[in-house]
Formats: sequence, C-alpha cells, structure tokens
Amino acid sequence: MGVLEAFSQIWNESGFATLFNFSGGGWKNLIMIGIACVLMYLAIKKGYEPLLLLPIAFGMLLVNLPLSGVMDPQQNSLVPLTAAELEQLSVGVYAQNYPVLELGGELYWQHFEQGGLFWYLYQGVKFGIYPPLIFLGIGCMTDFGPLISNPKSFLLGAAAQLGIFVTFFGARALGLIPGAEGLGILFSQQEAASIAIIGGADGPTAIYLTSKLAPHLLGAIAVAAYSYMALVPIIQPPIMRALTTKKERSVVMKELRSVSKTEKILFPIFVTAVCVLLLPSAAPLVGMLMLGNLFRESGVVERLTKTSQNELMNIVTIMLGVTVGATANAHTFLQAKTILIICLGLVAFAMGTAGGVLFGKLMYWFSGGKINPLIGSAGVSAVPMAARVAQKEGQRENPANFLLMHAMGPNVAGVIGSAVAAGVLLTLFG
Amino acid sequence: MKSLLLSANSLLLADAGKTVLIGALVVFAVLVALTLIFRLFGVFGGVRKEENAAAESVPEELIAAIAGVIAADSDEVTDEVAAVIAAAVAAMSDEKTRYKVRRITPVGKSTRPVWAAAGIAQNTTPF
Repeated sequence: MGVLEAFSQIWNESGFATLFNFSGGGWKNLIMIGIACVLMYLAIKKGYEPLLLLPIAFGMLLVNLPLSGVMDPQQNSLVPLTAAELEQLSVGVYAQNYPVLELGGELYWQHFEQGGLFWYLYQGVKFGIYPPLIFLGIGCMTDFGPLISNPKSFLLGAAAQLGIFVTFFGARALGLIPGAEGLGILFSQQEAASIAIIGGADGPTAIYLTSKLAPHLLGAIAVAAYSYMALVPIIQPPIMRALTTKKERSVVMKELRSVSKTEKILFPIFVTAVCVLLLPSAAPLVGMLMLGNLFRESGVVERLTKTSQNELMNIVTIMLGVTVGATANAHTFLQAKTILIICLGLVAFAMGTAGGVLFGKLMYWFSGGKINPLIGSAGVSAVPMAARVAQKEGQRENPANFLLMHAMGPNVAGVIGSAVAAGVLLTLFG
Repeated sequence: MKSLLLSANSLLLADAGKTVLIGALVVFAVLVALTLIFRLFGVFGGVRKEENAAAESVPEELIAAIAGVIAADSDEVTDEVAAVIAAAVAAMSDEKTRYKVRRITPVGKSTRPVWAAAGIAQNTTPF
C-alpha cells in the first residue's frame, strides 16, 4: 500500500469523512455540533444553569461526532457452534472466548459486544435512578420552614401545576390539525405528558417522567426544561405584571411564624406518607426528596447530609447531564417535533406562572388583601430562582417589601407539586 | 366518513380533557390534604408561638444592654459585633450556666498572628 493510499484509507475511516459526507447526512451532525456549542456558550458565558447545561451540551457534542460510539448499545447475539467447535468442546477446548448456552438442545456462543461508555451510564436514566438521587440532594438543601409556617403555600404550588395540564391538552389538540401525522406533530398521550411536565420547571422530574414515558424525546425535553428554568427572570415578570395590579404587587405580608425542630422533622415523614399513600407512583421522587430533608432536619446524620448534597449530587449530575445530552443525536433531535416541544414548553411554563399568580389573586381577595399574589408565580419549582423573581418584582413596587421567605413556601411546594403531577401522569400513562 | 373523523376528534379532545380534570383534581387533592395537616401543626404550635414571642423579646433587650456595656470599653468593637458575640455565647450555653462577656479584643491586637491562630484551631479541632 502506497503512502497516499494509506492516508486516503485513514481519512475514509475517520470521523471527518463521515461528518463532511453531506449526502450521507453529515450536515445533520454539523448542525447538532453547532447547537451543542451554542448551549456551551450559554452555560459558560451567560451562566444559564451551567451545572446541567454544560454536561448536557458536551454529551450532545460527543455523541454527534461520528464514530465516537459513546452511546452505542451493548450487542448480544447467539451464534450456533459449528461441527468442528462442537467436537473441540467435547474434549474441553473452547474455540471462542464466549460463554456457551444450551437452548432447545442446541449449543450457542453468547456473543457479546461492549457498548459505549455513555450507554452504560444512561441505564441510570433509563431505569429512573439518577433523578431520585438528585432529589435526595435537593431535599438535603431545602428548608421547608416557610412552607410549614404558611401551609396555604401548598395551594399555590398546586395551582402553578396548571401549566402542565393545559399544555397536555394543547399538545394532544395539535393532533386535530389536518395532516398532523405527516407534519410530524402528532403527539401520543405519553409524549404529550412528557412535554407538559416541562411546565413543572423541575429538571429531574421532567427527565424522570420522560425516561419512563417517551425516552426518544429526552434530549429535546431536557434542553427545553433547563433552558426555561434559566430564563425564569425573563419569562415570568411580564406575566406577573400583566395579571396583577400595582396595589396587589405592593402588599406587604405578615412575618412568618417560627417553626420548631419537631415540626421540621415531622414534615418529611407526613409528606411522604400522604403522597405515597395517595399516589404510589410518586414514591421514588417524593420519597427521596423527603429522605434528604429528614437527613437535614434530624441533625444526626451530618455526614450523610453533606455527602448527599455535595459529592453524590455532583457525581449524579455529571452522569445525568452527559447521558441526557447524548440522547440528542441528529436523528432524534432534528425534527419538527423538537421545535414544537420547545414552543409547548414555553407555553407550559407561562401557563404555570399564570396559574400560580391567578390563584394568588384569589387568595388576595379571600384574605382581604393580606397575600401578595406575586408569590404565586414561585409555585413553578425552579428553586430558588422563581422566589427571587417574586422578591424582585415586589421590591419594584415597594422597596421596603421583602417577599423572599413568603415566596419560598410556594416555591418548595412547587417541587412537591410537580413530583405529584408526574406521579399522576405516570399512573395514567405509564 | 366526515362524521367518523369528527367523532374521533371529539373523542381525542374528551380524553385529553378528562386527563386534565383528573390530573388537576388529584394534584390539588394531595396538596390540600397536606395543607390541612400542616394547618393542624400550626394549631398545635400555637402555644409555641407565644413561647417564641417571649423568647424573642428577652434576648433583644439583653443583647442591647450587653452591647452597650462592651461598646463603652472599646472604640473598635461596634454594637452589632458585640451583640452577635453575646448572642453566640448565649446560644451555646445551657440554661443553668450564664456567662458574662467582659471584653472583646479585635484580632489585630492579639500577639499571635492570625494564620498561626487558624493553624492551631485547625489542628486542635476534633473530627
């Protein structure tokens, strides 16, 4: 083989040849690499949810580099033994380095081809292991004190889940458009439920539900969910201002009562019991969230608390991020559905915010003007960003108004609310 | 054919509507149940509320008094710093033992360098 031929062969077998083979679909990979780079830019330069967006973007980059094989599944196959191999086996010689399996009187080699690294890590997403572990860490970091102090906040957390169900309806209604199937915008119930959960503004919950109901949409839904969570300060304020009056936004709320340690310890136990008894499918998410919180509030397992909220959560975040990103390959991501998912996600988010604020208005009227409806917007999880937005909007009207702790109640209630909503959808369509 | 399509469409919408109704109701039911349970917490915590209120009023006066005395002894220690230190001492002490904070000296006036003090603290702190 000549030098030129050798170089030609190396080139032809390289990823570059596949990438620049436009007629073979290499352009799709180039677009995906471009999207991954934009997401990395947003994470690094703009600081948009970098802890998850950066691993997601890098996973997306890696899987779209042709021939990287990081997401290749493990291959298992059965190959019958030849007559010569059977003869060798009868004297105890194994012709191939594979285990032998007897099936229906025949002997087979159990051929096994190792999968890519991310494929193995992805099993944690596929079997719903990572999101509950992230919830464990979140539970360790969350102070439910403001919620215990003002239990009415639970209702705001429930109202903000409105976006999930409205979007579910919208996604299903798209199927009524003539030729929806041909346009690729016909969503099954499972797909519609997975898209709708973006409105819960809770990344792990969205990933958990999607991995169970519509794993092929995981990449698009994760990117949409985390992008909108990062854009909370931009999406929410116009909705909050449009739905409230200046007078309502200026309401100064009464100081919260202090919460005893006993109440804080009983809280995770009661929440777990009520949620799991009413909705068993919410057990992994709610259970782990509350276990983490019990670690925190009990004060007797400081090492476990620290590990859960730091090392464990960081490790799981890396594995979750890169593998979710790796599901976004050109074939599944570059579809009309992806654009629709991103649009519907925005609708879900906006409707969730509106639901919370409108319920806040109801509470304002019923309480005789004691509740500031702005705190309702924090009912879409996105902890603590949504609560900060409520605080900021409140201070725009009245600089002496401190809504942060009041908004933290609906905010953490939103985490429970979205986990419950996910449980409902899983029960109905799982 | 057209009527068949219409009925399929209305079936799809009715199904989706049913899901919305059931889903929203269940989420509300669970969270209303939790609201009621934790309202009860508040009712039983009513006595505690008064205790808390009483507990909150005492240290404020006490701290202000302590802060005033200590601040008079030092130009560099502000009332806030004295109040924080006094509160920390009070928080760490049990009900039987009472401490009097007589003097607060800024670190700069200590004979031991701050890094040496930090090193000693690190090496002598139990696991």
